[in-house]
Amino acid sequence: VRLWLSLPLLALLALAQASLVPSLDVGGARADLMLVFVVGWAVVRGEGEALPLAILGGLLLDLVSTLPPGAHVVALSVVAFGTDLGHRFLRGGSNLFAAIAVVVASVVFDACLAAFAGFGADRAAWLDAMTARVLPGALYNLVLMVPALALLRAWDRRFPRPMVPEF
Amino acid sequence: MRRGSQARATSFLALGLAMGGLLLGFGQSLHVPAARGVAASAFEPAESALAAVGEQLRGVVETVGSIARLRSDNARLEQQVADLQRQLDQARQQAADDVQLQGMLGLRQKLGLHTVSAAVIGRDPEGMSASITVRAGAAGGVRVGMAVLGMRGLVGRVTAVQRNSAQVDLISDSREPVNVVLTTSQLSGTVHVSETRLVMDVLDAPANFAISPGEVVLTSGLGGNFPRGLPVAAVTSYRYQPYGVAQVAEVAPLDDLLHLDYVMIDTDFVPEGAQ
Repeated sequence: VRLWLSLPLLALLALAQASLVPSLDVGGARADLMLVFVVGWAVVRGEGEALPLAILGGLLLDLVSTLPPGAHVVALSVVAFGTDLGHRFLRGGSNLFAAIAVVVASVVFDACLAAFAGFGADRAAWLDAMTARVLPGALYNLVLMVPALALLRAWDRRFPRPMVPEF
Repeated sequence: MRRGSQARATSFLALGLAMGGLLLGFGQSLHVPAARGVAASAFEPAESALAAVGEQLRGVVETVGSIARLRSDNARLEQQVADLQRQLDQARQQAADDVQLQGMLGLRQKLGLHTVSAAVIGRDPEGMSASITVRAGAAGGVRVGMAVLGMRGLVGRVTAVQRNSAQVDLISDSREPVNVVLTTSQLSGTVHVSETRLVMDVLDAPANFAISPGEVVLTSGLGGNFPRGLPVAAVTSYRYQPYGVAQVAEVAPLDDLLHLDYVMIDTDFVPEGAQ
């Protein structure tokens, strides 16, 4: 039920990604709002809770994107799973982990999209995309992660995960 | 670690990859382009609104970003304005000095005097007397009693001399009456301060005596305090007084005594008994 409740927020993020974010680029670098949200939630909650959000968010992004359909679903699922794995390994989500996670996730996410967009065959285009967009975008996402993490942690405190006995 | 949640995460990953792979492989068959068209139509109003918000946000961000540059530009321009203002002030001061010095030079040539030029370096700090200090003294040949001129006429008399400076009592000082003569009628009189105004007492004026405003009065040389023939003041107003002992005309100094920057000291004339 909560997943469907998050649908309006995910739709808003997808729409903002398509319409608002291009206006707020800094030197060509753009934020990935959906990625920041999914990674942030994986850092805060872990336990695989970000995976369904990643799939749903990826589908919505695929609807408003011109990239091959399914690219965002795969890329977001991969980074959400990786972050979730890190959360399990570290038994929690510290600020340092969040910072590293969002930078690594940004690079992996954009690398996946670049691969699906057909950049993989062209090494020069790949390098250009990495230096001109991916790395600055990762820093942009890192900055966005600060308020996002504060909001998600506040949400987590307000609506904590129900305790389920472990067998 | 909870194995249940790990299994769930792995399942969702598999689901995501499967869905992604399905869409990537069979997107056309699954009518994804049509779905995108429907989504674009449905989302268009919201996208337009968000795009407008984005443009406004960008404007705000650019404005905020330009504040630092504007501040820097403002500081640089303020500095330039201050420099230019200083240069303008210097140029104005030099122009004023030039006018004074040229006037003094003209007066000196006209009167055929030998003079020592001196900058005004001090004024009476209390404002109790009309006196100035000039940068010329005994070393330059200045003696007590010498006449001091501005660029148009007499301004005062040397009252004390040091090696490199001297004190001058101006003609607007009540202690410094000047014996003068009117240029047209040749009637003599005295220019002195009366109730803070500079006036001339005209002696031996005939009945219905008239003076034209603007007439210049010259030193008469009587009394031996000043040489003869130096311009002193100009008549500003006069009214004949039938029952007066002496006729009184209001006069004004030819130079602005409050704003003297340079003066000339007439070294040709030394009063009798001067040190």
